[in-house]
Amino acid sequence: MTLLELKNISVHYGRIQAIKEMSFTVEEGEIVSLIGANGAGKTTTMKTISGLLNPTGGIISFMGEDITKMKAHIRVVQGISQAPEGRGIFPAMTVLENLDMGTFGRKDRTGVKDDLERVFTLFPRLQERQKQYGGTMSGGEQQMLAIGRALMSRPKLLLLDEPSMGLAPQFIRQIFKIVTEINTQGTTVLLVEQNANQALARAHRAFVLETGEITHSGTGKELLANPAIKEAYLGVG
Amino acid sequence: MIPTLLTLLPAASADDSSWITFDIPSLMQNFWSATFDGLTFGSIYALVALGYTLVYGVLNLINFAHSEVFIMGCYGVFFTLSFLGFGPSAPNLSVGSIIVNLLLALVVAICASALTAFLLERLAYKPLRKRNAPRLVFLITAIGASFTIQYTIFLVRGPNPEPALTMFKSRPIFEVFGTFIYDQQLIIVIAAVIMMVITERFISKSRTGRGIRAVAQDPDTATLMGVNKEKIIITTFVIGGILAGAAALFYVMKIPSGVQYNGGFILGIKAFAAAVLGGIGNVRGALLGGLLLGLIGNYGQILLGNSQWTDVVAFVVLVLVLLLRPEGILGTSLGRSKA
Ligand SMILES: Nc1ncnc2c1ncn2[C@@H]1O[C@H](COP(=O)(O)OP(=O)(O)OP(=O)(O)O)[C@@H](O)[C@H]1O
Ligand SMILES: [Mg+2]
Repeated sequence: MTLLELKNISVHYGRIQAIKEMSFTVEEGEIVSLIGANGAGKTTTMKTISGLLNPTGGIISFMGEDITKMKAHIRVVQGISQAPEGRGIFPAMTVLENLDMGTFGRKDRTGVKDDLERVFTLFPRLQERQKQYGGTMSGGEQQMLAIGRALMSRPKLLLLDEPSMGLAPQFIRQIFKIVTEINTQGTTVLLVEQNANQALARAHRAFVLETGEITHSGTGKELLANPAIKEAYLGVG
Repeated sequence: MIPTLLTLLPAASADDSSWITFDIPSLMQNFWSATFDGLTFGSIYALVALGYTLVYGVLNLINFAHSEVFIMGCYGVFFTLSFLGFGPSAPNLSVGSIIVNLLLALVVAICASALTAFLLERLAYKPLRKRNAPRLVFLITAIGASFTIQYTIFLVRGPNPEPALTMFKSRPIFEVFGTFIYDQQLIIVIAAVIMMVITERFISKSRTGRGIRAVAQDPDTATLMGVNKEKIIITTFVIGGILAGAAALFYVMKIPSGVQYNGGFILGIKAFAAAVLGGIGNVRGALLGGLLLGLIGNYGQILLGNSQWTDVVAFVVLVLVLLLRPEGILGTSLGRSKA
């Protein structure tokens, strides 16, 4: 089933067009990666899907429903959850309070405990640091918290905007492993990355974004093998 | 505005030899009465300061028109009490019916202030947010809204203060350190502290409170969590209005002649200073700043032997504190009020 569909989406910042008539779909159960250079429009795409930005043209549908005009805070309740670029941790809230914020839009309080346990199983460090203020967590810990918090709304679609940003190589591998784990547990993932190697290796399908347009698409393996992409995004050899 | 500012300056004709003298014996003698009265004023400042702090927290906006949100509450009190037959001398009523009358005035004041705050946000600030207006435009709008409300009142009620109404004859009820504590002081301080504790609990524990703190720390991420930012903003304005309305009742109780078109100006500035002193955006800071400012103003007034100096002393202390701690005594974060 098609979970998310973007049809001819355009996004402008004032007069500057950041996204040009972009179309793609995310099927239920997939990991889809979006790779591209700095300023290609990856974050803009993510914010448009979560509703922080309004497209100037095109249609977004989620589970077959047109959500183009739907407010961002309602999209969360519908099942779209974003761990934003730069992590967006509430610095003056504890780890537990941050995780609790992830449940803000939830109507069913009953499943919250299970989900908290699930997050603590994925990220034992968060359980140890429950009482610590978000602002004092390390970069890697904040990234775990951002992903954990996004999971607390029990999303159907998880949007991850550069989860590997600023992390040590060893840590990056761990984060990607967890992304795959979250996916096998049943959450569809749309992943934005500059770390193209890992992002393509983990993805079912992937797109390459250049200045607001999709220039390549295919399975993760296909793109990994594509010489043009190898040269531009993976470093030769 | 200008005439009010001028009254802050010492009269030019005051004999120069006694322009500044420190009357330490007088301060010693009146220390406790100045303390109790300072705490009373301080509680009122603190209630109004919360309105500045909460709105600053969620919008990063110094809502200069909050002083007018407050003065509308004062008019609410005045009109209710006049309607109920209160006059210049204390009413000849049983304690029970005075309490009922004052509660009625409180409700009207809270409604008047909350409604003003609501309309202010909807008519002045929300349209600016929709257009992504720069910060400076918000600030100028806030000042403009403040003047608009002031001069609208001026047009309707004229330049003079409304006649003073006495709510009840304040009586001493017990003695501490050889100084009487009056029922009026006790009512104001206790009621204000209860309201502030409720507000603090609400912000730190309730779902809406979590929304307020989230928006204050990171509005976009708060939205991603499912927080309706617009609803949080209007709620914050209304909470500030409710607290200002309560402050209005206590203020008119203490200063019956204070109901005037520009009567919120000085109090608003002081409440804002209290918010900055405690750490703007910080709920507990507003309480601390308000009480400190009330105390400092009263001590300064006695020490310098001239009531015109109250405000000056308070602001000198404010500047000194900010030189040492630019973020205010307790720091600026709304969320950090818990730490
Ligand atoms: N708020 C904004 N106002 C104006 N232009 C913006 C704004 N945000 C982004 N842009 C521009 O839109 C384009 C796409 O930006 P975007 O943040 O989506 O890139 P990105 O692919 O996420 O890059 P990065 O890998 O560096 O995060 C860039 O040219 C950027 O300068
Ligand atoms: Mg980006």
